[in-house]
Amino acid sequence: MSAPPLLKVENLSLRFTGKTGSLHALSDVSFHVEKGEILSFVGESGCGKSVTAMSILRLLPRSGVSYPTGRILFDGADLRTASERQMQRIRGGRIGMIFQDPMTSFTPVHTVGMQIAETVAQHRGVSHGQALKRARQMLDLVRIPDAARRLGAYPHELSGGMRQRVMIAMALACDPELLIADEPTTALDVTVQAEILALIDDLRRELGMSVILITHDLGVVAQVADRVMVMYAGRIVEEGCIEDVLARPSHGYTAGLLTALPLPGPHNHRTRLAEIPGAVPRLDREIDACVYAERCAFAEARCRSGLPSLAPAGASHRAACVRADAVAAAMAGNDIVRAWA
Amino acid sequence: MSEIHVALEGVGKTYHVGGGGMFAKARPLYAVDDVNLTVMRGETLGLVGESGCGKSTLSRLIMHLERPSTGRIAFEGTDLNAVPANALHAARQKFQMVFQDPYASLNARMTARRILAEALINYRVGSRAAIAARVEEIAAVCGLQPYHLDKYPHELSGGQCQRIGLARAIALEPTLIVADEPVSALDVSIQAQIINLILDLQRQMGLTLIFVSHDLSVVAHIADRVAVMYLGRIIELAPVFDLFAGGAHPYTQMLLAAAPRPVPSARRRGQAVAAGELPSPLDPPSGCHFRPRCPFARERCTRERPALRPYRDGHTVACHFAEDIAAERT
Repeated sequence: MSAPPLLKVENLSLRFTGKTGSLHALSDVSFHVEKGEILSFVGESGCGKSVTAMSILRLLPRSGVSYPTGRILFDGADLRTASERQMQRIRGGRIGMIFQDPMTSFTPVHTVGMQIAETVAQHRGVSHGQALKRARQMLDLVRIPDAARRLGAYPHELSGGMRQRVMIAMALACDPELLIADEPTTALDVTVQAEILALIDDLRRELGMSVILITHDLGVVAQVADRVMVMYAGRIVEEGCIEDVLARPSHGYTAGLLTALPLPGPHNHRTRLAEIPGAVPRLDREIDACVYAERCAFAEARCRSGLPSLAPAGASHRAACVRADAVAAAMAGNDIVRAWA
Repeated sequence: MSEIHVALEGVGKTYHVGGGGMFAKARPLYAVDDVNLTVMRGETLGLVGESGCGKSTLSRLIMHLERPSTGRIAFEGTDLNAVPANALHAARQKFQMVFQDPYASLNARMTARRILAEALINYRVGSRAAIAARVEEIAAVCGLQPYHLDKYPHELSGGQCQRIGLARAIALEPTLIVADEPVSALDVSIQAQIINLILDLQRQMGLTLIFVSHDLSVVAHIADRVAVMYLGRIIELAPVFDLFAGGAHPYTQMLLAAAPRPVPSARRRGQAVAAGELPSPLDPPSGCHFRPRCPFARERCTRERPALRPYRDGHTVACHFAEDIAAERT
């Protein structure tokens, strides 16, 4: 992959400022998305994964949000300094988005056909008739049976899985180069989830687009992602190829996430699961130590003095953990890790 | 584990939907359809299925929050739908429920202390001092610190709220707890804490647990037996390892294949495993409800509803051709 990455985020920091102080929502986040790959962001509520996506799309309110550092280079141009007009062309055009709850992402008063067509007309400047034709093609693409009839359906008339398909159809209607999917299957049943994930995977192959898939579910990550970025307290703590990260988890937090999962098999049945003690740190000040040290099973004195930087932990794999080798060694016996090794 | 704790015989719940207009006719929706099930004392029964399969309605029937349209539910041998209201009220101490949304299921205007005292005051279990002491005791058992008790739900994390939900459920020393998706709204690390707490409480108190979830890995971890529901019917009931070794019903097999697992073998095989969508429960297919999505469906499946019948030891399935399908798979 020698082509320049489609998206390159450099040293992005984000602060929310309110009456009572400020919150360090993102600290020094750097990553890139290659053409045609699926990069997954994982982490718990509040870790910064959605805020990163919202920053790329510039969907956060202007007041109270500041970016002390960072650039967001999309195809070479910095989205941080782009004009609002340029952003309007990019959102829904070159970058498509899907959100968790398809019900709140549609307007209930227009048919889904109208809503897809409106996006197309807006970005392509085509006639209404042509836009509707495109809407119909898109419903076919996302494998909605009887697409012509479904164009006239209102969002509430569709099932959750169908609505999520329509949302994907709308996001893809203008041939985006990048699709940002924020928990796209979290509200869906497992069989529908499997279909939607397979659909996203197929479409990125057919259309050659890149995908950022945000999820809290490692199972979902393992199913479709090429690379994974583990976030905690506004920082990237581990990042790499899915095969490398799961075969050799090298950060205490990734290890914590993996050991907290219930695993199948009689020897695991009804055993106590490994808990991650404590709670996420307050982000109201700069933390000059490993953000996870207070909860980490592997922490030493040096973890609490000084911030670990992302260092190579394998061929295409980085971790911000001074105990990376100890973590990887301790995790070698974990059932999930053994399956990937 | 030889004593029957709850027994359901031919239990059904029908709602009538529509019929709002002058000429519109209300249509029956069979939310739960002819369920036969026994839950043994001290066991953990997992109840799985997709949205709309009837698992929440079945939980509410077992909790006596709804009356069945047909059939009977015996709790510790008594049909509580046939006893006077005060006797049902008294019996409610014995069975309690834990809900999915830890915030929505707690009164936002009450402190945690007040929420926990409420149930005890309702049942007049002792003096004010005794109730106050009991509140502190159950809070401690559920891993809450004394200062948590003076907080309102919105001041607490999701995990702490779910601990209050569990403390409230055990306050009256029930024998049965129905937990409806108790960890689905929680992050993985908090989920592990709550599952551990549920396991601890169950061991300490000898509780019977009905654990409703759409997350198969959690059910596989905690349940002794698992019932799979589809469109209001139990279509398979099996010991946990038999079920997760593959399942005998094609729907169970589809569910297991679709569940995301963080292992390499689960990679990129989504489209192959899932086919079609849940039919409308207002207009279910004839015969076997799963037939339109089933790769093994034959003519008989259209005609005849498969009964839940013995398949192996302790394992029942509602499929005419489970043996043939098993033979084909090997």
